[in-house]
Amino acid sequence: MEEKLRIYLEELFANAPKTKRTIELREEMYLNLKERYEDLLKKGATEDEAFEIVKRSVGDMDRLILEINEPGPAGKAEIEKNRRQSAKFKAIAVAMYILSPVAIILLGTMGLPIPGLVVMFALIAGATSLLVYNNIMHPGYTKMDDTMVEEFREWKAASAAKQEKKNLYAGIVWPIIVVLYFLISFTTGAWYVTWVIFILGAVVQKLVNAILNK
Amino acid sequence: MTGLSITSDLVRGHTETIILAQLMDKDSYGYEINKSIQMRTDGQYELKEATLYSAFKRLEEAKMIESYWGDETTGARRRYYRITKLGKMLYEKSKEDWEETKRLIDSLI
Repeated sequence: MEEKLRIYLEELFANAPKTKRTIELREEMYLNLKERYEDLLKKGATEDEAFEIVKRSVGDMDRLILEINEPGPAGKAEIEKNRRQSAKFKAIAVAMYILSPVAIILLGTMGLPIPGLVVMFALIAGATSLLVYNNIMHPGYTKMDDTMVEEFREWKAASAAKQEKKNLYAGIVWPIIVVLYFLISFTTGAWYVTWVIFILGAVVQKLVNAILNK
Repeated sequence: MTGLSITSDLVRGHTETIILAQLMDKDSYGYEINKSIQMRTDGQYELKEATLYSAFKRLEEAKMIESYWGDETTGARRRYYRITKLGKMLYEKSKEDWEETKRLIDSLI
């Protein structure tokens, strides 16, 4: 008879996500329903009668399973706060990347390519460390529970992170190439030929990508 | 048993207060709470399992109750619930509100 109750509960929880919470709930329910069932037998009900009464005492399970797995108000607020902070960090980092070549262009035309270079690298270094810090503090996707779907989402987030790393690398390489172009052009004055640097840069990037992807 | 469904609707709004009331005297677990509700109402009322657990969850999130695993000497461990100070305050407040409502309805119908 205990077996019958177990099977009945398995059916009730068939569509529930396999989380710690639902498993605990199932255990809690099993013990409570079993005690109710045993009490009914003591009062003189037949096994079938008792089982029917137990079944009727369960109520709306679908709604309960939904409710039990959604994060509480505190959890939701926390997620939202993290999301906002992470967005702010990313926006600042992107702004620093975009502004970094401005320094070399401005100071370069004023005949100060070296200080321009220093400022630019400082901006790039700052932006990169901001992104790295942000990734450590707020990983792209954290598992809410231990289901297959969650594992799939985590895998997806991981491959997205890999892509992001590649983008990050491209974001660093191109400003460096621009800096080299200006630096060499200003020092040698060989403007008619230095544009080749961009073609070389593209080749180098493809090579590095090929190596990284291996 | 006729008319119970209408009564149930009226009672449902007080599920959480009813649970808190059962926990005022001592810590308890799901079935025991339901049994004492049944006893106090001469078997006229009891909570569905699903209603009971979703109320537990809401109360626990609101820090009105706490749960812990009991140490049964025989058989499996049960999840017990304990009312918090905040829960006791909510219970007193809900009880007052109910007394007020009762007086009001009594004077109207």
